Amino acid sequence: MSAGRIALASLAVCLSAATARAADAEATPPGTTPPPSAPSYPTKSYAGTPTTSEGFSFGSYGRVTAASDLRGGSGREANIVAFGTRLDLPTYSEIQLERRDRWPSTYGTGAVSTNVVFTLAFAGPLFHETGRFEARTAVRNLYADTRGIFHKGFSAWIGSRMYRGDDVYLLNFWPLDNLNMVGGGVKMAFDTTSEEATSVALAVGLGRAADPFSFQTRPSPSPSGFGSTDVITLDRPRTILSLKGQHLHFFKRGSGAIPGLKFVLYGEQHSMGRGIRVNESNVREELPSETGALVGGQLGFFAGERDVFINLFLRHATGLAAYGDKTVPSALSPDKTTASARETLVALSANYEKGSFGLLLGGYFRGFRDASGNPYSRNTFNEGSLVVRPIVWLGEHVGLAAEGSYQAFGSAAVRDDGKPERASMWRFGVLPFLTPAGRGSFTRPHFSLVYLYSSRDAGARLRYAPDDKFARRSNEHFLGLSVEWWFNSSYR
Amino acid sequence: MAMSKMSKKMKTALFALSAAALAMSCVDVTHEETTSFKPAGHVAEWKDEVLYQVLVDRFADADQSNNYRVNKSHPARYHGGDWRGLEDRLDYIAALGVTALWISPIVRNVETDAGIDSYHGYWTQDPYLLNPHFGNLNELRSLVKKAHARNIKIVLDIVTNHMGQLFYYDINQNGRPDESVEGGIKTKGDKTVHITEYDPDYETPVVQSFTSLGNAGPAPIFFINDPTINRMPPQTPAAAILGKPEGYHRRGRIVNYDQPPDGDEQTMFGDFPGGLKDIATENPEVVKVMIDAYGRWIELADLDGFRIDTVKHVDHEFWQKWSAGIRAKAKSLGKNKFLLFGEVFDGRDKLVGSYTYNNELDGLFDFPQYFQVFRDVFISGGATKKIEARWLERKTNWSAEPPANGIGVAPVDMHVNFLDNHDVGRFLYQASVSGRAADAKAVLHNALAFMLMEDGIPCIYYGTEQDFAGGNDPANREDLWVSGYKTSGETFRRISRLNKIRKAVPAIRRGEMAFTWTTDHVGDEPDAGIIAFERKTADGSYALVIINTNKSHPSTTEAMGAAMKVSIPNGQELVDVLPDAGGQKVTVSGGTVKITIPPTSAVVLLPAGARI
Repeated sequence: MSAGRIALASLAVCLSAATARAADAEATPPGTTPPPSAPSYPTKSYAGTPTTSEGFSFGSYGRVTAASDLRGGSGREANIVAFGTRLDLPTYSEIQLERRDRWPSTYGTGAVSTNVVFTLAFAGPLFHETGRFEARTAVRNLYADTRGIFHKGFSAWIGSRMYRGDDVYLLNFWPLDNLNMVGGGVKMAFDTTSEEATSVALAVGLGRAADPFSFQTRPSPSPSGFGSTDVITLDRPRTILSLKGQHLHFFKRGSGAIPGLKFVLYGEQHSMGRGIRVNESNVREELPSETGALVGGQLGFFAGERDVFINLFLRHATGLAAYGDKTVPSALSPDKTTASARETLVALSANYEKGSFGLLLGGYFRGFRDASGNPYSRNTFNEGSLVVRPIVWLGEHVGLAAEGSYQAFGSAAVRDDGKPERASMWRFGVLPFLTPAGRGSFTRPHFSLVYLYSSRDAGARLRYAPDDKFARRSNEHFLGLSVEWWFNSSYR
Repeated sequence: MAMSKMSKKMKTALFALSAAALAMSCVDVTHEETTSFKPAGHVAEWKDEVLYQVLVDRFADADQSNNYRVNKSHPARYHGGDWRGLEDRLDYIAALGVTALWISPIVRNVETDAGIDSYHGYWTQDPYLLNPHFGNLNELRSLVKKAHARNIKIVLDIVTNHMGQLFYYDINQNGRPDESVEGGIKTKGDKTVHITEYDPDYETPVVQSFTSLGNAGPAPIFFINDPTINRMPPQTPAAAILGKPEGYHRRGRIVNYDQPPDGDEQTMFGDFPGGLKDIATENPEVVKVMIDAYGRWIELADLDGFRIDTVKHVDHEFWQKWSAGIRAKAKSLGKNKFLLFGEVFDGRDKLVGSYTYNNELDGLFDFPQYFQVFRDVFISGGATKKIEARWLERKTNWSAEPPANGIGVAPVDMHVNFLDNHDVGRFLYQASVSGRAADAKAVLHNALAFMLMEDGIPCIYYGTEQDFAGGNDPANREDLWVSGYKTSGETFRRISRLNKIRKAVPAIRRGEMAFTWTTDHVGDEPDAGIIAFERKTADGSYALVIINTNKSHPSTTEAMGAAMKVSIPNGQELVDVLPDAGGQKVTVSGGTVKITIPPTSAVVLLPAGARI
């Protein structure tokens, strides 16, 4: 194995950024990025304890960046894999409105509460950039949940929502469970002992991309006899069933910092019915039913103080599930199924803080094999990235962070010049920042001046269209002002 | 205690991460085709080969991910075939007995023009890039590698004469392409012609512009820049000359192919119909690009030869320089027998043969034979003397000297024989419309027998084996998958059998060919329609092929009491090996062979005891 291949593999590189981006784009509205999770360490009050007061609540996640490429152009995201550094992510924000009520319980479980959650997301362009009254918007949450019926640890929800677990903050990535679906679910949390907390959650939902793989309308003669009307000729939503079990083990009792471990087992089952569509050749063709499965797990350690944690994620998906919840499968098998698609993913997320020093770490490796069975498919790839961000706080409200990252991609195809389709990129950033909320990797708001230098190799340049400036430049600068905040955010 | 437990679990977690990373490192997506692909020579003797022409888009669709703009209902759109599909069907190809695949062009094309798509591959946009409709380089390499593993060679179709419709002539100088130039009906001689800025008629020295005030000098040309259909100058810097006016002749469309001297000039300098822009092949920079671009594919894809399109539209000097450059490149890769043969779509043998001199090409399609033998004799029932005449004509007009650094065979022996191809109606179609439809299949079988037993390299157009009978382009470019790739059909078995005989008998592949019977008779005469020839080698391999092209009655190798003389000794028993179980037997007597052949049928006689 060549050094290049070792580097590629050991850094867990991979996926066609384009494909992965497409997948991500399906999971979230184009150009938007979901908010980061709260710190992924739990506390002892995690299970079953209401955390907000009754009434109306406003929450928000947001980031706004104004940046230059120091060559007279705008600063622009330059990752070549699906999940690289978040330093140059574009502007995105959410406003979250919640109505919370508490009701008397007849089950002896104490209060029963309900929440109605509405999250509206905005992506660019901003009016102050373009002077135009326009923005891309999406409803990211629209659901209600209730807690405390039957048992104080019981909860149920119905609606449309983001449904996900812990993230890798530095990559803006939810590596294990990240569903966007319309459906419902239940969760049972058992605060079994003061050292253990266990919960089980089950959810089921539907999703239907506006793509001829799952949905198609065709004009049909109108019943009135005049003109035509569109009728739905293909409608086969994807049904996703998810099951998640989580167990927290605390190393000690009492108050103060309580370290512990977090274990998560997670699974998804995806299915779609058969259907008939009219293909591009204007021929009716049958689409066979589809299934897929995903299994994964998470192992985490949390120190119980200052957001210190480490999480390791592993996931393997087959068939329909290998494409993610919203991506329209491509490169199908000759019988037009996703059956032989595979995805394997490992990810790491960690944060360490001590005194005025902090260290954030994030990385992932993803191997994807499309369903075509073609060993040379461009849609068969490995990709990954590793990001390290050391932080020094100079007092309570000021700090300096640096970030180094490496990302790489390799597909089973070769380029037209005979060279392997591989790409890699080194990125280094410096970000002096202000944290009004005090020290901490996750204290927000976070005001920063960001400088990011990127060095892309020839393969990385070739991942862009020939006329794209990124296709011609080996080095990239990104200098900008950035702010990020979250409070009462939709992550729960 | 708790912390020590934690520490243990942390170690476990870290170990798991390391193990996972290690496991992932084993999930390697690279392949030998990527990392250690090395071209080499694969051809021992081209005269042993049987070509099979494949239009990749219509052969087999194995990868749906490259089915961009596919419309299988429309005969002139992409239908989805790809290199992987071809690879998946190598068993089928091998069963047919062919030994070399001529695959349609692989380079990036203009996607579409005037409602027709570039599924055929002849509308080059960038000769350095692959056409993604057919796959990526690894898939092409994999096809080549798997084919070579079966001793099947790969010949690539290339075009150096023209590019796709990359620019328009701004005849009225209004800065935009007009389908119809304002006031654009003008008279040329006694003809009224329509002027379009995409494909105007031929003019010298270049297409002229005119406005309402009169002639306005040379029409400026503008390259179209429409990436949505890939209609733009080449993006590879090395091909920059093909994105500049000086890379083209800019004389407009050929309207006279036939009448020299004007016709020859137009043929050489005019745009190919459909607005395919004629390249200035006398430009040294163009020559360099064409050597570099196509030489590069030899190396990248381990090719064994080129089938060259529109040869007669390019100047001889180009072929001399280009062939030398390509041969040198091939030799540097260990390919000492890299085949260069081309298409001179013309019945004039002198013109066709002219490209075999001065070390130009190794061989050519035998278009004169297509017209004079297969059309006039086999289909139309002409005299078989014409076949012999065709033979003599070729010997007169084609070079008998092997080209320097070529494949080691004289071009006169490297005529590529064919019944039909993608540019003409299929043989069955022609036989049906020009002859009797009921006879068409038997005529096809007869013609196949001649083509596969005669001297030269036979070339079978895909679908012939499935009795495809499409008319002219695009009707002759059917999807092979509709046949179900059956190998049990009569024609498939006929071709397979003939190839088996060809493979087993050195005389048929490499031997001398001598006519033993041809005739002017086409009526009721006993020998009407008989064509017979011997194939033999110095070391004793021998075959006697006798074909009756007459559709009405059995014919005999005898006329006016004189039987057909042969060169093998008296007493030698000959057996027809064309039927699987063996056919007629005949013994040489008095230095002659007398045998009666049913109408529209053939025998391949080998010395008794020969096993096929």
